Amino acid sequence: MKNTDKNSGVTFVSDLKSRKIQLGIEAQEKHDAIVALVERSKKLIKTKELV
Amino acid sequence: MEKPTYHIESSIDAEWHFFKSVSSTKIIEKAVVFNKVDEENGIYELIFGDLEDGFVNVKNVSDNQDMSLVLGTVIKTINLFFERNSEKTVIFMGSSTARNRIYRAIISKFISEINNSFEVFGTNFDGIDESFVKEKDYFAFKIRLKK
Repeated sequence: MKNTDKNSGVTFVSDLKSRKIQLGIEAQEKHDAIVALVERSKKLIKTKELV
Repeated sequence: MEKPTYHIESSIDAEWHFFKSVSSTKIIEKAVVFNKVDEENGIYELIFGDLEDGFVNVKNVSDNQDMSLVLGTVIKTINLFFERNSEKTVIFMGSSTARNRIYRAIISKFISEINNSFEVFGTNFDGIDESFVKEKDYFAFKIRLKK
């Protein structure tokens, strides 16, 4: 079902996420790098909290 | 003034967006996906690329002569995401050092425009955030709405 929002130029589609999409190889590598970065950041914050 | 954009099809939660980059020679379907990477801290990764056979490819150089229009459209998807997810943080990085420099240049260009609404951070390889500095190299960038 489609619904054009007050935002001109945008159509919100209720079942858009039913589309099957996957990350390409480089996108997956980038995703892994970001997850690792976020984990490093969280560890850093926890270490700071302990000090 | 709002910048011109392509028409966007968005999911209701504004996490997925699709649009078509159109030139006289080709039409390229583009995807912008905000993918949750840290539930605890509400951090979403911005993935932007060409959609080919169901795969999002981030390394393509489309050269479709519409960079400004594509950029305006991607910025609009970020605004749409924050309209519906005001407490979240978006993180993104380039697919190469060169592309990261392009991102840095884009942020540097728009920082004075967005500074009233957003906080922008540069993140180094160790995961340390600092307020974005124009001339500095970063591993990734983070953006969130000002509270």
